[in-house]
Amino acid sequence: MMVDSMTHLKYDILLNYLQDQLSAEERSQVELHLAEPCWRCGRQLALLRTVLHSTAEDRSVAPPAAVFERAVDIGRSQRELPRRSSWMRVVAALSFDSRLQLSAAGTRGATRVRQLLFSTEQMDIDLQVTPGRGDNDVLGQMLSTGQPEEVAPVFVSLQSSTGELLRATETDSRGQFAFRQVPFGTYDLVFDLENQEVAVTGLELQND
Amino acid sequence: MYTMQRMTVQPFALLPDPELIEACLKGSGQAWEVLLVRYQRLIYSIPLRYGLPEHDANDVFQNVSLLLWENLGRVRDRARLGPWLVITTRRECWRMMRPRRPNVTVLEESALEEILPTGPRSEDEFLALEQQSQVRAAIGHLEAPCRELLSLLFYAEPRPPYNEVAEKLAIPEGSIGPTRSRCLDKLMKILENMGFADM
Repeated sequence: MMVDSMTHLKYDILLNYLQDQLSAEERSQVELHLAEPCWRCGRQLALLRTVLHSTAEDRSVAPPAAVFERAVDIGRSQRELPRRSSWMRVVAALSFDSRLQLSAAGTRGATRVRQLLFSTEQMDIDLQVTPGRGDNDVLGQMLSTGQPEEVAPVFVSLQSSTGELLRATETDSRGQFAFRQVPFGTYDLVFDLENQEVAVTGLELQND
Repeated sequence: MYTMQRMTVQPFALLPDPELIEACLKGSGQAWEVLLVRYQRLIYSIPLRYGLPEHDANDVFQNVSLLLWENLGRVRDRARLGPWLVITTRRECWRMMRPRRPNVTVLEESALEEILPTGPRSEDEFLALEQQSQVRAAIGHLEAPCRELLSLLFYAEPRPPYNEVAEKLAIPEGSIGPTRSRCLDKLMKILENMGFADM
């Protein structure tokens, strides 16, 4: 008997199972064991399936050895410990929300376009949120104190609360940017400046 | 291809990202090397997918490695280093490509993909790249017979028959089955320990 209820399946057997290398009887034994259910073997089967898929689809490229070694040397040449807060994040504070203003005046819903203003010491972020069917258009402008007529582009990203990049764009010469058809949800809007990033956190986009 | 000194760095290969980052922050050069091995293919493949030439991809890799080193202490979710690297690498690609693009006055979200015209377009593709990078790294941490055997069995196209594998690795054909089983267990142990199952 290849498998019994007391014995977990070895990865080798799971590999043969996934690659269809087992006899009908062996295959049936594996499936019976998995159906007990055996969570451990089920988890290992899922992991192995991911590995096989990953290797089959792999078109990734490794850097040349010399390039990799140069990167390893960063840890050798910069002997001081990595700075724990070398790249500061500044969270912009909400200073105006048209939705709150309208609610206070008892006219909520009078307009569908929502205006928001977020501020830091150095800059304001003006947002205009227009709800659609299941999504929102987000138009915005980044305004720095003493901003010249033309500003350098800034990388703007829309991230999940865990920092996952969802969308990205750059500001134009007037600091403007747009994200179209953003699904309802809660996002961080992050502006990547030279030595810091400015974030509008917990931006709720919903159907008002 | 870069080859690690496996005997000395192997213990770090078994650490999940948060512990590996902590070891880097304590000044371990070996932990830093293992971290780079784990994500080297993810970082390097992104500029190539965006159509950047090799010398630009080399620069992106160096820049991202430096940014990673400098910002190890500020990565908010250390268990999700991959997405942070994807963001950082895309930004470096954008910086690399931007000066070559004619000025535009009105930019929308699509503009980024216009700058980076042939790149991955979904988070699934980046996740796949991250997984590919990690599996390659895990195989790279195995010692020679296992590394060579699993590389042949997993990556060679078409997959070679056992007699060819035996000839290539100079081992008896009858021992390939047991060796594969042992090597597969080692590989999966590394992947389990580094948190691959939680991705």
